[in-house]
Amino acid sequence: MSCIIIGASHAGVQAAVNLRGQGYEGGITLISAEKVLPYQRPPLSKAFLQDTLPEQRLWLRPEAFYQQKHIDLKLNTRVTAINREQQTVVLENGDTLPYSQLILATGSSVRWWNLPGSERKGIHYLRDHSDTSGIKAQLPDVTNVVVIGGGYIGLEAAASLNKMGKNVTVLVNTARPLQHLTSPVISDYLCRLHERNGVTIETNILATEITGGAHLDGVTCDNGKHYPADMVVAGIGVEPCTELAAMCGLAISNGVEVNGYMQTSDEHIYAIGDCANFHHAIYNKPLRIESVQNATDQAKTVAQAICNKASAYTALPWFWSDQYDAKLQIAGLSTGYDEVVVRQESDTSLAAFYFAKERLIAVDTINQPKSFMVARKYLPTLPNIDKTLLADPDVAVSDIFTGAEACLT
Amino acid sequence: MPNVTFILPDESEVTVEALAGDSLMQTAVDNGIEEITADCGGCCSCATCHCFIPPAWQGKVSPADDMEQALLETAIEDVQPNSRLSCQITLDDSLDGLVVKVPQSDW
Repeated sequence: MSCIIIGASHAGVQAAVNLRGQGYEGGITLISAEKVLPYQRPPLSKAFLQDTLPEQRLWLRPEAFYQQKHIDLKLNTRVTAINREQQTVVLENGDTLPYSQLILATGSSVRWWNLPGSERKGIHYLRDHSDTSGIKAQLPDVTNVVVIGGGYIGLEAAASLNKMGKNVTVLVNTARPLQHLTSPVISDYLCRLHERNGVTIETNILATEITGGAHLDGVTCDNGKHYPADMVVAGIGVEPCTELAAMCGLAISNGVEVNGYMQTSDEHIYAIGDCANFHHAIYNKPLRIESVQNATDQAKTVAQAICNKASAYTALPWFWSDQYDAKLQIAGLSTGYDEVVVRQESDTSLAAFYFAKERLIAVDTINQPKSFMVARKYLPTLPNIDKTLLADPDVAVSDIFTGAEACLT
Repeated sequence: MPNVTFILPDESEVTVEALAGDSLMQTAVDNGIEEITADCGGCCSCATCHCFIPPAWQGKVSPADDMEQALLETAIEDVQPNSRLSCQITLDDSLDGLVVKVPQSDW
């Protein structure tokens, strides 16, 4: 009996840990294409970028941990093929490893950006350890940074680089940052927060050319404006890594298709984390979620399934982000909301509760951890909640939810 | 190098050597205390590193701030006056011998 896990980020490492925790006694091989120990991704755009988190604190587990748990961690190793008939994976060096169960935790990779001048030096992405290291290495020579993309990664990078004394401009191709991820009230709060701290956010703008010589010197946009830059950081989204799964004929649609136990169309192969597309029990639709919570919780589900303690995945999605003094905490998925109720507890504490057809489906909070936590507890039932009370900061949020009527599908 | 003893849900005890400056959560994770899942990596966002500090040690660890208090009050079913989030406790030599009770994971 042996289990191979391809990919050693949050999902892959947690799967190995949970397999041992569930009493799995077979061999566990954890394969990473990267050279460094498996690491936490969230600090790459925050504390690790700002140099306030030392590298040894970035590792998900210390090196000795893998030996203690008899997890064979293979770094700097690429899988080139999966042979489903023989139940083996083939490595780049030609070695063949047999498996009883295979877990694909291949994650996602950044969307590359192709426009005139994108071959110039000074363009960075922000996904892997090596990306952040590359940014940090160039930073001493940098005064002006242009961040392209108004998603969470772009905004976190902007906040971090601003804190490090750089002049930062964020170019967003929509009417507001986080347009597809949150409501106007949250976007507006974050815009003001960035501007107060000295970051310029330009909206409805499309970069058309990276200018300069061998090294870039700026970005030209569709409105004719030119933004001088010594560095460009592009945060324009990710794509699921499905090449290996596709090559061996697994069912794929926006990620590797899995059932509620993270099992692919091959009963011996599972997929978890960013690369997996599953039917979400709460929201009743197929979803692929890029988050630490999703990676960690799906790792638990797959370990239980492999150890004959199967329990279907039902976890509520949640996320967080830190920018300046703002702690954003998000529970649920707000996509498809038809009404937003805002709860403002102070100038720096607000929450946006999202409703669809009178049911609460998600909440975004800024410096309002109680609303986040209470909602997180009750959201799995998609409850009916009194909106007038919710908007009243003088009524304790926990009292509003207690006794809320469940509205299950 | 402070020593820390974790009392696990099954009453078994694990004593480990911690690094001064590390958080209690980090020490637990590095030493395979799996009940401390610490999903958010220690930025006080998730409450998945809940633990109990025995009365003898309560006055010696730094007190919980508002954010931690809010998470504890709302997130933890069996919250007690000595409940803490272990990511918010920094270890130093004055905490040598610290004993921590780890509940069954709430998550």
